[in-house]
Amino acid sequence: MMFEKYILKSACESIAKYAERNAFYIDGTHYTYRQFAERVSAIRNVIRAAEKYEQIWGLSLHDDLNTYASIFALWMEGKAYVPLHPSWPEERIASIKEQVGCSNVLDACDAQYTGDLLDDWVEAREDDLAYILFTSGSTGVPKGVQLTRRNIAAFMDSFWKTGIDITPDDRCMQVFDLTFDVSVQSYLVALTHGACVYTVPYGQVKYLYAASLIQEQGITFGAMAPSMLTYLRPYFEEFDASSMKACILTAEACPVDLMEAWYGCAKNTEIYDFYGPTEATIYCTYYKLTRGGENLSLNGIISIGKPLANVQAIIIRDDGSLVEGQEKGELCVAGDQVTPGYWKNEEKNASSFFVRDGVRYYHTGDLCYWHESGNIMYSGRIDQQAKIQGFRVELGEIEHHARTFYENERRVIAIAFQNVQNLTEIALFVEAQAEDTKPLVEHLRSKMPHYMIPTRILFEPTFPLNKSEKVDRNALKEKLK
Amino acid sequence: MERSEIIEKLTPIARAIFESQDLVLTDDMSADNVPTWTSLAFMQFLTEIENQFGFKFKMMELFNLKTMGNIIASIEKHMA
Repeated sequence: MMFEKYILKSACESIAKYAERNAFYIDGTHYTYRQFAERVSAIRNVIRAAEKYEQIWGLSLHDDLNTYASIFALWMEGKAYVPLHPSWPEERIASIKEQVGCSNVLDACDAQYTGDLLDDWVEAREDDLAYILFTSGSTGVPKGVQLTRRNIAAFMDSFWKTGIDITPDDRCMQVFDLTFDVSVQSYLVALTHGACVYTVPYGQVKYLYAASLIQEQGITFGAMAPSMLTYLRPYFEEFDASSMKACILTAEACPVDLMEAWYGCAKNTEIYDFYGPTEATIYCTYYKLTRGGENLSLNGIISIGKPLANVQAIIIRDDGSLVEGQEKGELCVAGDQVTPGYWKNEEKNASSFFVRDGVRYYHTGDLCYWHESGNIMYSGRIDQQAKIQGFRVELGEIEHHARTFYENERRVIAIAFQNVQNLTEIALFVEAQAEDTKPLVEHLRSKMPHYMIPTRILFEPTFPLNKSEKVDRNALKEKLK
Repeated sequence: MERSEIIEKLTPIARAIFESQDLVLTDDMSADNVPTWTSLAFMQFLTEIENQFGFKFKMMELFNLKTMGNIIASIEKHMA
């Protein structure tokens, strides 16, 4: 059983071997593996005592030991969780709970530890779910990506085969929101190897807190989004990140010039660019950068590299045939890391997955081509999706909620654009005379998480049209320059 | 520069960046209680402060700029 081997057994070994060493550093406090294990045991008793049997539990996410312990408690009880963020609009949380049909929610569970340390686990099948992550859906309803125990175990196997090594002496940074799957990589690689996880508390400006962790706590390993480094770039001359032995850049396209500048601070660091959609469990390809050497890039963006050990990748044309040479096409991935599908969403499952020569592939929606070296070059999205602070956003979902606000009487277009700092922002164009945007913004805030709220709202009395009489998105985008 | 002068100069910057025309600056304002105090907005806020007040923050200083009160105090120090 791979999940047991890579996750449960490994974490229990960390607890047994390193009980008095630190497992977490959360908001200025260290917690040992023994304290972590006690919280896991206490929460397992709460799960066992639940009146209503449910396989999938809601988990209200906080930056605290109980939240991390709850994840392990649920897994050790053979259950899965669906993350619910306290900052999300209530309507979104209710919609997710209703879709999944879960009524049990662990929320800052502070049940008393009874002295009964539970170090075994309930047997579960590899195809049982581990978690469901809800991402933006173009129809306005969030869609749930199901990840199984097999998916997570295959990911861990792939990860260790990249050659990144974590030891009990490592200090690993976890900067990502727990609704975002890179967080799973960030805590799992540390906890399964006896290392310490350093988190970023809520209510902090993430990039600054991360920089302070690196500089003041001597972080040795961490995954970050390139935009965090973009924010820090004006301070690179003063930034000493020499404690880092390895650093993963992920969640967004990775600019080559930013990486070259980052090498100046991260003097002893191996830098990796990891790519992957949630549907293929955290990452599915990676590229290891060379300090001072030639790094493969396209339009200033670093190659996403080669598939991980448990991932098969193909690039296809519109008609499903394989591309030839350096022809661009859609990247599709297969293997044990690929999700069994979206939660109760037959239509989306039929369009997002296909079988070719007996192998089931996922359409990533990313436009790519094969470099002659066997690396994959990333060239942008095929559809209307954007990455904001690492979160995947369907522009269609923003448009849906804006149209609903105007009772479908106005046309709206959401456009992702790069600002002067080269960071992605969302602009919303409304076909109308200019007016106060406050009621619209309030409506959007009641429907969507903060990162989906457009940072610019622009009014145009009449939208420009292209030759095929559709709204000319490119002409609107020009107005943002 | 007096604290009151700093607040007077800082208020329109904060109102524009945090998109709130009636924002009144208080010492306890932070990412915790201002919904538009995002990473992006905070970076823009710092850049605008540097441009308008004519100094540059050190990175180590930024680690302690968690509330509006911290920011005002830091500007006071730079402008002394």
